[in-house]
Amino acid sequence: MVTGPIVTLTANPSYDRTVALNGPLERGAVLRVTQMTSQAGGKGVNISRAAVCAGLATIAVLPSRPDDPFVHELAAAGIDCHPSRPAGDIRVNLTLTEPDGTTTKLNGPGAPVDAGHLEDLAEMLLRHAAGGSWTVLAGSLPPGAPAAFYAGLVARLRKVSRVAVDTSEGPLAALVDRLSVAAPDLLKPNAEELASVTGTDAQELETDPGVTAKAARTLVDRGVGAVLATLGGRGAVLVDGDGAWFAPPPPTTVVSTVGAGDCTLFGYLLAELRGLPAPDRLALAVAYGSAAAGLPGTTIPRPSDLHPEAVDVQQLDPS
Amino acid sequence: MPSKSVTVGSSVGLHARPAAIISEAADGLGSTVTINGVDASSSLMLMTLGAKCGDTVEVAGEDQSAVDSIADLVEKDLDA
Repeated sequence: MVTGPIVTLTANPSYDRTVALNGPLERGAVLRVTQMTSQAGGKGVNISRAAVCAGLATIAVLPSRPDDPFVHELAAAGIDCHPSRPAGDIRVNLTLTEPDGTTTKLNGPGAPVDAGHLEDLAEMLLRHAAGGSWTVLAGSLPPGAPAAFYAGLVARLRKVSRVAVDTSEGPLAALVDRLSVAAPDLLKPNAEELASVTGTDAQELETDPGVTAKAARTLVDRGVGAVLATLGGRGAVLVDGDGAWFAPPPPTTVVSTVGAGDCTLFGYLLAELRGLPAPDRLALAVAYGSAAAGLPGTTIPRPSDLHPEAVDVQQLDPS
Repeated sequence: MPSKSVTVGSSVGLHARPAAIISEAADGLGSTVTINGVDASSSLMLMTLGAKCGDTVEVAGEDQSAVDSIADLVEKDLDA
């Protein structure tokens, strides 16, 4: 069984720069920097990186100049990168870290796009999705993009590829409003996102997997293939047409949760591509997420870091 | 570190029953053995490799006899 590549879309890519200060952040002062790092980032990019780590072919579609260092960095990482016409420079997300662990984030907005840029991006994505196994739409949209951009893409992609979506706020709400024509095969909300589209309480979802399963079930009943709801340090719930399962994470020393959700989503896709049943898909998803949380920054776990046998998957009452 | 390249002999590849047999055998060894970088005692991780019959995989570990015993199993048709 030869599977096509996992195709990822990063609609609003960013350079993730981390600046380590040697003392407390002080407004108006000249500060010494001990270390500065920069990495091509974005949720779609993280999922493509995880695919490369696991030995799977992957294609990343994103708006960028073809000669931008961003594209070269991804190519050097083994990712087949296909840039579409950008609206401007790739934004910078700046993280300032202080010795006591305090972090301050300054996130760039990204260049405003118009309908032409978005259609170029959509066409580039559709062209590559046709030969892929899964298409992943993940992360925020650039300024100027309508909230229903992802919903429109899902409606078009459904004919050529299986589609996974991980987004929040307006784009998530617009997608859930249009499930009758744009139901994805997989939706990966966290508790807050699931609460926002099901009229439930995020705190209750995070503490009670049964309540989470019930909320997720309402989306499956409306056509979503499967809902993988991540509950932060409490694990994840998977609901599909056949049942519902909950898996708490194995004991993990959390170092950085940045990118952990992206790895969780990738673990699910990898298990699905290998034909594994739902409980194993959830086990691998949670194993990936907790392994990522135990590694610094957005470091992607290698297959040797993963221990899905340590994940205890529990079947939930189908009611 | 001892390692060995071997061809997958099971007709279904490193999946289902072969993955279960190999992971059980690896679990009973005194040292860790990996197949293409994943822990051979995890049947789930073995199945994520997607290794098919006839594919070449790399078996590695600290102990030569442990590597040999897992390599032998990989080469057999465990689904027969």
